[in-house]
Amino acid sequence: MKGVRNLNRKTMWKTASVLLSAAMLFSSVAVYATEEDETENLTTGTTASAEVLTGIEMNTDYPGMSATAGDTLSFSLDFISADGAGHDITLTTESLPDGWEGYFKGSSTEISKVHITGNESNDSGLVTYSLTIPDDEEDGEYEVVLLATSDTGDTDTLTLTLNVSAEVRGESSFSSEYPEQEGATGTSFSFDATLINNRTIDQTYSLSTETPSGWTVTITPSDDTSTAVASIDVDAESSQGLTITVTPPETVEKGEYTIPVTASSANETLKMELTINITGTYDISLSTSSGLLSFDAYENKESSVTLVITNNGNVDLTDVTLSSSAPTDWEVTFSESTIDTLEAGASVEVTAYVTPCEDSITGDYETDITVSTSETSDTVAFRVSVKTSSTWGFVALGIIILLVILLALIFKKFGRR
Amino acid sequence: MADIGSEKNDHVIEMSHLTKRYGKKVAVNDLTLSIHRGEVFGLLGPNGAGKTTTILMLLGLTEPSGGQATIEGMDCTRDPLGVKSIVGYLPDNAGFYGDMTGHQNLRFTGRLNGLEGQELEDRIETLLKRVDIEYAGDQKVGTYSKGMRQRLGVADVLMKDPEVIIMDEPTLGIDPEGMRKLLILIRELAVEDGRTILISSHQLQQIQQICDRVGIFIEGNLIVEGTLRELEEHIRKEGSYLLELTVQPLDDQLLGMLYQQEGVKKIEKEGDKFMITSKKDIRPKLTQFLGENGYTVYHLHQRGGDLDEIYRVYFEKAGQADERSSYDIQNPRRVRFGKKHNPAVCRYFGLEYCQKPAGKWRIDFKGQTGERLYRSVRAFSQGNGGSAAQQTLSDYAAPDRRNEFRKSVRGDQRAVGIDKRLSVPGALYVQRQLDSVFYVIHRTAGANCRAGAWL
Amino acid sequence: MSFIALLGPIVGLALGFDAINSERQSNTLNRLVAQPIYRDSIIIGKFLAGTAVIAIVIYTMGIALGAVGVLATGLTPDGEEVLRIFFFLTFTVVYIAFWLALAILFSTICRHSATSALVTIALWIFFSIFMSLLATIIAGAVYPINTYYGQMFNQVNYYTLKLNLNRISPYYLYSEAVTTIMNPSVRSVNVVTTSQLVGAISSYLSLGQSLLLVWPHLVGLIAEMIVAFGCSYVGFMRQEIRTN
Repeated sequence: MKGVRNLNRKTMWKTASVLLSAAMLFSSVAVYATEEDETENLTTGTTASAEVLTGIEMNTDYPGMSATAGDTLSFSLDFISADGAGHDITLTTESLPDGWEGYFKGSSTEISKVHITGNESNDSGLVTYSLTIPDDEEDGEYEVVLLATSDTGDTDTLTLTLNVSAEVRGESSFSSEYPEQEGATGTSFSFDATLINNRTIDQTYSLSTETPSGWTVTITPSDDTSTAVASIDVDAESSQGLTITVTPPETVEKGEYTIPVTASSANETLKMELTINITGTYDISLSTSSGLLSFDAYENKESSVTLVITNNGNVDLTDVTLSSSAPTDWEVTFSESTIDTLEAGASVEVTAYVTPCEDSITGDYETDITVSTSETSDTVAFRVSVKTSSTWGFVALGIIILLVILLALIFKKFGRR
Repeated sequence: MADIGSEKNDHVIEMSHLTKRYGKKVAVNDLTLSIHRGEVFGLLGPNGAGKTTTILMLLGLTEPSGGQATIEGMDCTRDPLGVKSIVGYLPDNAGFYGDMTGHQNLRFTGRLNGLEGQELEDRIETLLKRVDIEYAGDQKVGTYSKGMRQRLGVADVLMKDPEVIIMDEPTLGIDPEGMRKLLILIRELAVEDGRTILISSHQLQQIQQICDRVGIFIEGNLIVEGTLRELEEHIRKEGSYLLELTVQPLDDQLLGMLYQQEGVKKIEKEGDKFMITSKKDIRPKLTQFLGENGYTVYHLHQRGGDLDEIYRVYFEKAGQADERSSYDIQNPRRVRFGKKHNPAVCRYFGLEYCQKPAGKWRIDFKGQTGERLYRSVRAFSQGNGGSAAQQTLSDYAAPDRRNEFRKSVRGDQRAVGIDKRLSVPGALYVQRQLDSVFYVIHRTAGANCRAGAWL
Repeated sequence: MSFIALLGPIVGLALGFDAINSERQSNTLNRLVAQPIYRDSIIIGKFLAGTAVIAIVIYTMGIALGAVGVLATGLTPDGEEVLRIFFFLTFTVVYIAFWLALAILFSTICRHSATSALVTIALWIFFSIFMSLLATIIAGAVYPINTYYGQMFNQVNYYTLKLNLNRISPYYLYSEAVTTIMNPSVRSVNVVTTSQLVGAISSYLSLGQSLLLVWPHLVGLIAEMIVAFGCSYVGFMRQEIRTN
């Protein structure tokens, strides 16, 4: 190709220089001569030779264009008859890069000749030159030279310059609209991705991900989200929508996680990276090991309750403190009133010691125990049933038995007479 | 404990050194007594002598302070139930549940004694018949008369078919006929049924009729016990002879002689009779004297064998002991009577009033039944015989009170110790009796008579 | 219930006031004592007979009223309520039996049944009506609350002392005990300060807890009964049974 190009370029420069010099010559002559019409050409590098009162002109509005490989372009050709008389013009493609296709078209059929009336307005857009760039054409500038030969022997060439861009060429893509998502623990993330098969052939892509441990990724077609797929067929030059659902594990810690998704076919491998930012959640909960929120206590005696503090968030909690609010003169102490660190998801057991004051009356009282960190807290209200110690009951029984014994002794001493 | 039935001791009730003290007062003092099977024993004594206390101790209702009492071998204090099951007790004024009938009362007692059923009913019928109140068996006891109640009491006692019956004043307040029947019944119980009966009373006549033996209690002490015969003997042995003497003329000389007799303890006058208490039989000497001196004997009788007498004697004896113990007879005191009432003297002698108006001594004292009696005693000048004074003594009792006076004189008599110094011819001795006082009127050798009292 | 507390003693009194002295008066006592029965059977018998009568009356009345209540309201009591009623009835029996024992005690001591009846009635009136006045006066003297100063510092002591003095009276003991047992929402029998109520949740006490609240009362009632009976027993046994 390069050679062809170079060759074309050389040829082009040669022709251009020749023509330029010729034009200068002629124009100077023309200037020295008398009034002559010059027809300007709008694109660079292309000059049309204008004959005074004879000759034909073939030009197009935009002789230089950008195109993508595979494109088909149409150039609308205008003809000017210098002498204003009708002519039949034979159209030929002088030079065409390799692989390129081009033909003249007039009202939907390929033509090789055109008749111009010599009326400019009638002659414009008479002929369309259809140019097709091959799919695999590389980037670069290409020239196509068209020749118009009138029946009188006049000729005109038109050089079309094509700028072919590579990025428009051939690679498929696999991308997501929002490849970065943020969420808290427990949510699953759903990414809408599009797999574009830019090739001219149908391809089957197999899908795979590199998931960190504990994570699950499911890929489903967008239009049928119930079916998880591991591979997908995409027609040539078409796209397929995919929904990628990423579920992080429950105990995932805060942080950024990247999940690369790969769609690979026989011909190409497409990679996409999805980023998930797990935001930190702070959650702490307080309960008891048995789940029971009530307990019995006795005046002036310690009753213990085993508390379970759980960090339900995904962030380690620091400086977890326990506090309480109890009735007047009650004492509540904890086996550890401050926990330095509580890892995410971890539980720790703490014992609370509740001592009702001497004055408490029997019955139910409410005591609140609160666990708190600087970010979050939890309170539990306990129902404390203060009971009179049943040792008093035994004391009572004992006294009565004593009295009965005393009575029996009196009976013995004085009685039975 | 001796078992009942295996060894039928002849001594059913035995008391040995039984004592009961209430604080300082001794109610029963060292009582030792046995009561034989089948006999009727009478406990005699004044009120407050300790009879009831002894009975209570026998029944286990009171704890003795010392000593022991057993009935049929069972200790009264330690085995009261055993004792009570064979001893029937009839207290004085026995009460019944007024709104229950006789039947029901007896049934109650029977049940308490462990009887039941047909046997109980039969026994009730039998006993009601026996004590003769069958006709009133179904009437409420509140309607019974005292005699009926007493008889019901006897039936009640017999409900348990006791071996021993203790009766406290059973004849008190009963009419004569009822009493007679009761006494017959008691006798029957002892003789026919073979029960041992202990009766406590102070109705001496009745006791005399039915008791085999008696025991005399005075102030907690058993002074004497035995059959009537024995007691008589005892008195005699003790030297307590009582002679009734009616003699004319009654003069000093006789009296002096009497007093001079050895053994004469005291002389009282009862109407026209002298009652001479002496340690021994003075009849031989007396009759001789009387005969020699030309006295006419109207009445001469040696008393004895009468429970009254015995009682009296023993009371006197005890009284003696009392007096001896309570007054210092070694140093007799002489107290003067004055023209005015002398309260100190009165208190001393337990008199109400004493005064010597001109020529007479007036002494007021309380009679046995509490009424005030007075004696007027005239002193005689020299030359008058003691007998005249004696006469005066009786004559000058309040005329209408003479009989009571005599009665009061007769009962409870105690003699004052005789002071030999006073046995001077012409002296008159006056006895002090329990509730009347007679003073020795002593005639000194001099014109004036002085009267004084010696204890 | 205060009706029973006030008038119950009359029943005990009527059953016991002439227990011993009527026998003495009618001279049946010494006959009785001479029977082969233990002497203490007499006094125990009097007491037990009276108590049996009281128990029969109270329990029968209680059951009858309960039945009427069920018929009238259609509500049946559940197990714990029945137990509570049972305990209430039992305390009533103990309370009235105390008065019986007291009446018997005085009948043992006093010669005439009229005297013993009057003494017991006097005690009844005193304990029921005047004891609380006396308690108020004494408590007021020791911890005066008629000044501001007094009110600030002495309130609790005043009420506590008054309460404790009142508790000498069996009438009061009984009333308090019975109210607590019959009403499960009574949580304390003492003076309750507001600081003690902080944080309290209104709830019902179980029967065991209610009983434990009043254990001193029960023991007190039973003890008083036993002491009264013991005294009459000792008194009777030591006495001499004489006709006069």
